Amino acid sequence: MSFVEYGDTIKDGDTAIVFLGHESMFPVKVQHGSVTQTKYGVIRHSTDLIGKKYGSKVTCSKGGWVFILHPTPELWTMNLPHRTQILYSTDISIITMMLELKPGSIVCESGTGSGSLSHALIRTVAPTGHLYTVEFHQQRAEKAREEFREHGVEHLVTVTNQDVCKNGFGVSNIADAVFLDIPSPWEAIGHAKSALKAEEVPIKHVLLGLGKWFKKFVRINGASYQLSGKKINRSTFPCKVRQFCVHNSVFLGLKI
Amino acid sequence: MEGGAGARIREGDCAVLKRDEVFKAVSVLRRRKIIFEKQWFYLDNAIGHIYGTTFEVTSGGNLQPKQEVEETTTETKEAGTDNRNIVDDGKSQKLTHDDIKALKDKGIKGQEIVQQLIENSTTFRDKTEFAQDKYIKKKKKKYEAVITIVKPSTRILSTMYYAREPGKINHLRYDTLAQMLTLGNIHAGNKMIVMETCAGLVLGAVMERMGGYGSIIQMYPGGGPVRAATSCFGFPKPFFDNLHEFPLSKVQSLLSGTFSTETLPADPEENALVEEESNGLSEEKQTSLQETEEEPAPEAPMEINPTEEQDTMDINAEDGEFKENKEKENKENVREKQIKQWERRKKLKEAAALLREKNADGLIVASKFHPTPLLLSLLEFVAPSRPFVVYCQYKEPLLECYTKLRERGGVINLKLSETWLRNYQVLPDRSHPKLTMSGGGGYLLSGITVVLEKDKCDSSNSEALKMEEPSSKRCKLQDLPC
Repeated sequence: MSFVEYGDTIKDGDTAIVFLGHESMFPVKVQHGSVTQTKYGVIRHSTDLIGKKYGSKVTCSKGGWVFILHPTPELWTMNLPHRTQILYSTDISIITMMLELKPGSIVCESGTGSGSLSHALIRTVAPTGHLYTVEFHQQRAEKAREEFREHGVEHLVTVTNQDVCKNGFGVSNIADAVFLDIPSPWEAIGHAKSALKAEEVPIKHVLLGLGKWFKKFVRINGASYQLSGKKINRSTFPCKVRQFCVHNSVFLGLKI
Repeated sequence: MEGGAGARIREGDCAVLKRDEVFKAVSVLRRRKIIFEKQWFYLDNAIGHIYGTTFEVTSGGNLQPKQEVEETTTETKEAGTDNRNIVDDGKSQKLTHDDIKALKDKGIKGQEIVQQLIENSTTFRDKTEFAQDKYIKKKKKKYEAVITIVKPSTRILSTMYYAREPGKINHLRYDTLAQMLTLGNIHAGNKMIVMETCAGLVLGAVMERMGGYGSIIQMYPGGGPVRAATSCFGFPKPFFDNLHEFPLSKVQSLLSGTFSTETLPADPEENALVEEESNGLSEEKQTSLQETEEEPAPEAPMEINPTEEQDTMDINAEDGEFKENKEKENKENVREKQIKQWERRKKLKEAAALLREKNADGLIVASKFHPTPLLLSLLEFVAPSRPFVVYCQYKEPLLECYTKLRERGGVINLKLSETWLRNYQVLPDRSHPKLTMSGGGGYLLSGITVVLEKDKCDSSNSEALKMEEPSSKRCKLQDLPC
């Protein structure tokens, strides 16, 4: 198993998703000898999980049952431990399409945060692309690296612990797309430009999230014009998904 | 990943013309007259340039790369504060319609014309700065014949189709398509089953996200799959090596074990042409739209074969020699047909074998047909713990589908959703929403497969009730204010 390749059976070391019911699931690290407590009883990894097919029903000690699911970036987004506010799949979908990401794309991201978007980007650019993600908080950067390792995707991502506004992405003239979701995105636009591939790439995409910074986009426009002098194509799309239960998310983007 | 190679416009490419928010897909061919946004021109001069280049249409219908003009922002413009004294009497522009026409005929560039209009407007200086900007923008739009040639992608093509021919794609809006690709975890290496009647747009989007890795089996109604939009993406040939197709009419026989390749659906090329014309919501408008607009790219793949057949049939049998040649050609045609049929049978067997493994990594459905029977049969081919997504233009069929899936079992995490999209204008001090699009983008039903239990006696178990998803059913009736 990995987050970029489906596996059929649960193995020692996998990250699996335990599904208890509607809107009720959690991730679990599969390990020989481990046990996991659920409200339906105990799950013993060695006997109940390892070797079973993903999608199987597992009966817990108290008699109730759960389903064990193969992890996907979407399931991860719904279940990951939050270290910061995260992006949900609705916005991630639009970002992925607007940045025209596909296998082989090179993409830069900052900040890494809790890795929600990161996992989705890695999944989309695999197996030949790469994600360069920058996080200025040391523990978060380290935690992200650890998770990418556990999820079998470390070869597709480079986490750099620095301030993107001061030091950029750590790469130059390489990216097809850049995504910024930081407190002052206009300070990083210059670095975004240098990270992007030079002339040969037809359209360069830089997306800046999030709704809460709406007013500050005014300043971004000024900065953009000064830097490139080129006519910039601007469009912004807040996107809401109405599930017939809950959830709204707002997204704002800019395309260079 | 094609870096330099795919970045330049080449002859034979499918390119997308863009002017502001209007798109049109065309084939890049020399000496082919293109009509776009009330302009006609040839694409010859565009060949060799990088995609994303902006061109101007010059006299003679030739394209010239537009020179970048530095925006002079340092100039202090003379402007008013509000419009209390501006009267809209239609007399503020001193240039007449004929004057402007004369300027155009002289070959004066659009920029010049706009300059002239500004100078000859009595009210321009009284407008506020914002109003001046807006005025200039509007005039530029009208008189500056500026066209950008962009490389097709899911983003571009889905926006284009939604704006130009939404009926052909069942009104699938681009943000809904984006949700489908993510919810379905479409990525390189998957084995996907796709069933769509969206002119091949959804198939193309899936192919783009798979990057040529993995395999796709496209299920199709009627005689053959429609892939008009797919050809616009410009995928390299190897992408199509792992693209299979299988007729829906054979699905039941495959599931019951009685499948055979003896009875094939009728010639796919003829039927595909028919499909193309009656696809979407089969309105008169659709076919007339195709006829009046020049859309060589979508039509080209479909048109080639029938005209060839036309040629062979039109040969006059008057001359004896002609007759002999015609007989030879007929024999060759028959042999060709046999080879083709044999190849199709072989492909069909391959597709059937892939489906029989019942281990697909996902299912995408986006069609004009009722989703329930499609899902109930196609889910059989999907492995457990894999996502599936169904698009429908209307909500009601999906509600029914939801219920039937609950009865069938073997699916969890069912979610019915609708995407709501709003564009914003973002300009300094002028940011505001533009318009709202909701209810017009279609609906999605998504879920995850699990191992399907054969025995239903478990359902009496009180625990099973916990696995049901009653909360979402309840919420259906009360639409929470979002």
